[in-house]
Formats: sequence, structure tokens, C-alpha cells
Amino acid sequence: MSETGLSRRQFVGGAAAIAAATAVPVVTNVATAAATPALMAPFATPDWVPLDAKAAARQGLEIYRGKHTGQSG
Amino acid sequence: MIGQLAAIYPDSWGLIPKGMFLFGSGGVAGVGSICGGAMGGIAVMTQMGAPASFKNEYLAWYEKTLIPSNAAYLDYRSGTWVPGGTTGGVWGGAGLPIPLNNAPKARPNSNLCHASHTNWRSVSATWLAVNGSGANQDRCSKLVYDCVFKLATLINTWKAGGTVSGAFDPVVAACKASNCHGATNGHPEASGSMKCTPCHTQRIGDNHNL
Repeated sequence: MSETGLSRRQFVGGAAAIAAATAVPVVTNVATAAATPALMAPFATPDWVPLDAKAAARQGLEIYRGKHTGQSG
Repeated sequence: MIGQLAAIYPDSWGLIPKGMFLFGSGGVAGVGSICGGAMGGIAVMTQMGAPASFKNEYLAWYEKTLIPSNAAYLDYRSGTWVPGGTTGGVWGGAGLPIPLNNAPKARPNSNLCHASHTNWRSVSATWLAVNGSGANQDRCSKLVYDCVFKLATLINTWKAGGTVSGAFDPVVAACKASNCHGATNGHPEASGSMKCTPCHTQRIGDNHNL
């Protein structure tokens, strides 16, 4: 998966978002910083689109190797 | 995995950093507890509300599968994989390290990084001597490839209405149902469902040399 698949908010998050994982809204949207984080990620089941397993696997390896934005590796 | 989900659901999964679970590398900050590949997959499935059977299936698969497969190398050789992220589409050098071909494989027999990686090292002495310590990262990067592929396949199966057994090694259930670890004879009841035999090698009734 190329970087074009990332949302803008992901780029904004970067490494700081990893460190602040329990407070994701704080680093993604100031307006929601005071909001109570949801327990679970909202997930749209009705419009489910099957995952591309190979593309996901490739990106997983690339992330492990530190080759995505915000990684020091 | 999160990158895939984020591309499809930018308003929900797009809020979660793709590297959120990098802390699992080396069994959580390198201490050798649960493998980051095993843990990250369960984290995603839990957030998605996947049934326990699918989460169990994933962990059971991890325990009993020869890891790493050669899939990442074969994918590289296919010529269709253009490295993403900061690689600039380049293999090798400052780009994405080229997966090694036919690396040794070993069954983790556990979800623990400690056991998984050590079991692999036990069959990889020559390989490591030839390829250097970087072969460890090669092995674990391909483990991630295998884990994410399996995870995505399982999620697709679940979403398509499929089922899985989610069965762990039956030895675990037998042990927990026994008088030894069933909390019926004064011994502590065994907690969890991870494979026991890699560490507890003696028969039920022995004291496992603890």
C-alpha cells in the first residue's frame, strides 16, 4: 500500500501519536481533545470491503522495517 | 493492517497510527513476552468485534505454524511489490531490505516472542553465521508479513460469514481438566490457554521441576 492510502490525520499523528496511544484524539484533532475516547473503534460493517491480504502483508513488513512516515528506523 | 483498514475507513481506522503496535516488537519492548505479531492481530480483531473463535484461531495458527514462510521473498521476486512509505520504491540499500530466500523455519510452539524466536535460533545457527545478525530482523519482518496475511484472511473469512474452529492444542484442555491443574487437589488452577508443553515438559502429576 502506498502512502497515498493514508489519511491526512495519520501523517499529522506520526511518532507522537504512538507515544500518546491512549489519547489518540489529542494528537489528531484539537477540538476533540477533551472528549472521552471511545472504547472501540467505530466500524462500518454494512459496507464491508474485503481486505487485500497481500497488500496488508507488504505494508506490515515495511512498517516493521521502519519505512513509513514518522518512524525513526 | 491498520493501513489497509484506514484506506477503507478513513474516519475511524484512519485515526489510529499505523505504528501503534510497534511497541510489541521483540515481545513488547524487547523483553520476549507475547510476540508483537500475535498481539497486534488480536488487538485489531478485538476492536473489530471478531468472535473469540477467530482470535483463538489466529493464536493457534501462530503456535503451530512454521515461521517464517518464504512468502515475502516470493512476493519480492514476483516483481509486483513496489516498496511503499519512505523507501522511494527502492529495494535494498536505503530502501526496503530484500527478504532473504529460504530462511530456516521453526514452529514457535508458543505465542511468546521468547520461545518463538529462540526456537528459530536453535535451527538457524549456520544461517545466522552466514547472514549475520540482520537475519534476525529478516526473520521477524517476514513473520509480520505472514501474520498480517493470515490476519487479513481470517477477517475476510469472518466478514464473509465463514467459521473456524478456533481450537487450541488439546493438551491444554486436558491439562486444565485434570486433577492436577483443575483446582481440585490443592494445586493452582492453570490460567490461560497457551500451549503448555514447550515449558512444562513432564507428565501430568509431575511437578514440572518448578
